[in-house]
Amino acid sequence: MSTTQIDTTKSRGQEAETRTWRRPHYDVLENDEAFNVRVTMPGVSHDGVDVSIDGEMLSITGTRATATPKGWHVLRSELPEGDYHLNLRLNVAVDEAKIRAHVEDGILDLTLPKADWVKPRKIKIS
Amino acid sequence: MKLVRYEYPPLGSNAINRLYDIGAPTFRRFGSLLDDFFGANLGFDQPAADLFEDAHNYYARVELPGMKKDKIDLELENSVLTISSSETEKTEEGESSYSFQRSISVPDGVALEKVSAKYEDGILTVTMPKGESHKPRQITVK
Repeated sequence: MSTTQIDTTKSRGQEAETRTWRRPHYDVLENDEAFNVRVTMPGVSHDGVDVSIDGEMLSITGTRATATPKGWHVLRSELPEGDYHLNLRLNVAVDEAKIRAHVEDGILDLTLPKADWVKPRKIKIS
Repeated sequence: MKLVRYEYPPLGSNAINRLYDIGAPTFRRFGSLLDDFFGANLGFDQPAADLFEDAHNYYARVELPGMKKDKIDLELENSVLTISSSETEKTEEGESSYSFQRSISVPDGVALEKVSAKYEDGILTVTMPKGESHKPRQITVK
């Protein structure tokens, strides 16, 4: 898993902040009706996920809810720090109004239904 | 023998959060220990773990996204905490099985009978209370 430092110009108020991003592992499945994207984001709850679509760019951000409680001293640290960020370019039209997202146990499940005109059509032979 | 400090290679395509994602999907349950050095596709599954301590407890934290609570096996023996699971998933396309094991050595003096674990948002936190004799004690100088 790669950890990268990116300057985000996301302006909260007026200050630009630096956040550490982690590129999550993900998986894309496709069937006739939809694409299904599964992204692993351990530590992210339902409220921490932000999915947006701009043109053909699908942008997924996951903010971790679990901060290390005060008073915990690190004895050994292996887990990468940072929130999750993933940009995916869609090359097939999707029905943006019907995108569904579900988060459970640190896995984001996104269903992107294909737009009607790109679905395979069965033609009956008469 | 001469020891030479390892120079990290400049960030390659693997490390950069690319705007245009043209790489192969990288879905795996969790990042393993060696990801950063050898890329994400080694065949091993050893989840990374953090270990913390405060005045009363030791805490181990492991990322295990997408697990079923009751499928996680925890064992603490001789100061080694072992987290393991094996699972067979049935999908439309067939069966896939999956297993991992991770052991962490924990400092001595854990009150074994009070160990507890919590699984939330894909993160397992094991709380291991210190036994009485291992808690910090205030000693007054007379």
